[in-house]
Amino acid sequence: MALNTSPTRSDVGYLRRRVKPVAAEETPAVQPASAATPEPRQTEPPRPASSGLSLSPSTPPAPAPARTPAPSAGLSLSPSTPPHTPASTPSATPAPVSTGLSLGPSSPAAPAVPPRTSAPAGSLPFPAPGIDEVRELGDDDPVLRLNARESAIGSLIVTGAASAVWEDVELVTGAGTPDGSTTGSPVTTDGNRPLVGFDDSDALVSLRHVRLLRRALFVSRGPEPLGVQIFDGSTVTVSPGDEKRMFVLSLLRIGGVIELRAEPVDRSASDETILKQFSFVLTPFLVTRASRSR
Amino acid sequence: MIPGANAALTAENPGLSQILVGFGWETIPSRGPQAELVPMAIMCDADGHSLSNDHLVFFNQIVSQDGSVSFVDDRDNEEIDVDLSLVPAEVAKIVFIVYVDPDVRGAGNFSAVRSAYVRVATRDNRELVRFVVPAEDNRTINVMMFGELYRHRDDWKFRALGQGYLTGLRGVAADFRIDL
Repeated sequence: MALNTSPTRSDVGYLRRRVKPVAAEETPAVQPASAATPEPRQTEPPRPASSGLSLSPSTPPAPAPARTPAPSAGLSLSPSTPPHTPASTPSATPAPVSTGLSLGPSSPAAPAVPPRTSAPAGSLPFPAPGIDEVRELGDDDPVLRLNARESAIGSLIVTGAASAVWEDVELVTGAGTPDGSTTGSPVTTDGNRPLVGFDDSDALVSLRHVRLLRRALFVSRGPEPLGVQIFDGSTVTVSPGDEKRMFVLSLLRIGGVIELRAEPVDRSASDETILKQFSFVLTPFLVTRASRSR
Repeated sequence: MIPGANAALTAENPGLSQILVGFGWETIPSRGPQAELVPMAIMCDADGHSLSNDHLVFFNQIVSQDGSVSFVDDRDNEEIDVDLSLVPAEVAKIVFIVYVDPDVRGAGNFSAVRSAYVRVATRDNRELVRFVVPAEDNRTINVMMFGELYRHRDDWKFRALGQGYLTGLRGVAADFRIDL
């Protein structure tokens, strides 16, 4: 079979990725990612495509002859498998994007409590566009990634959210609404600001303490779509979906960078259902009282 | 030291290679949102511009690509370590700024900050120089350049600065030509 050795068409958008893979022996040596793309830093090769959309039964990923980054988000319709392979094969472990919505039946072999560690810095699972490259998160562009500076300066502002859920690195989880009510446990930072909370109608993430945050979720219920703004003024909106589906905004911290994902959910799903789908378990908030002095 | 003063580091301390730059301050307690200070090192060329966006070191970008500058949270409020022997030749100076995190919920200036200082010490914490930032009316200042390490012939010197920005990180980004 003839091999396509012509250069990649960059003038036709939908053809950009449709280059026939060349034979393994003709595959040029892969350059270190750090030399090709200084930002975001990648010290490991991209993960196999196991974090992408998959309709096939789970099988061990075939060795790819060339680097095949997975552009899709964590939605998986395949039967559930443990999100982590044993520690003896860390290099083949998919990125621990455990917040992906899974509609597959539970595997009896799956551990009852999967490991919930954040990915180490420098192990980004696949290339992702930046906030300036995406106008709307949705079916076409489900994910974007902020760089280390965008992820750490000022406030990440989410407009149009009817509720926000957060989980910090100690798995303290809570939820809030624009009227100021909260359930679960709040996470307050040294600056006397909540790590994630509402200020008037906007949900805010305190990026000075981004390394305390593990993940968050923002749900819109009104006609206004979800929107995100960062310190430099860059913005992105989230597709409102259609009559049956809506998109929620999932925020993941991977090392020092924030990843934003539009995740489709059933429009009729309640907040409680969405929390369960994303495996958020609110932490009971214990109000302590000062010791009584006599 | 006083603003504008400089001190010879390597000329006075032969063999000095690894140094720590420590930052400290006190903040007047408040029940409301408080100013949160963040040190940042900017590696500049001879024109005073950052070599790239990756030549910044702060809490979320904790080491420069060449490994010469790294962020540590250790003895002082915060600390940045510098290995002078690893600093690339094209780096003419390393500017140390401290900014108040521009959280939209306020308290974005130095008005509540007292006793701010920067000090340079050896890796075993033998202090070489200390600059206490003058306590002035800082209600409109949201970024402060504390000091800079700079090359002087074959040596390195430290200069105390104490200059404030009224334009925040956007002013810093414009002056140093970086994306923030």
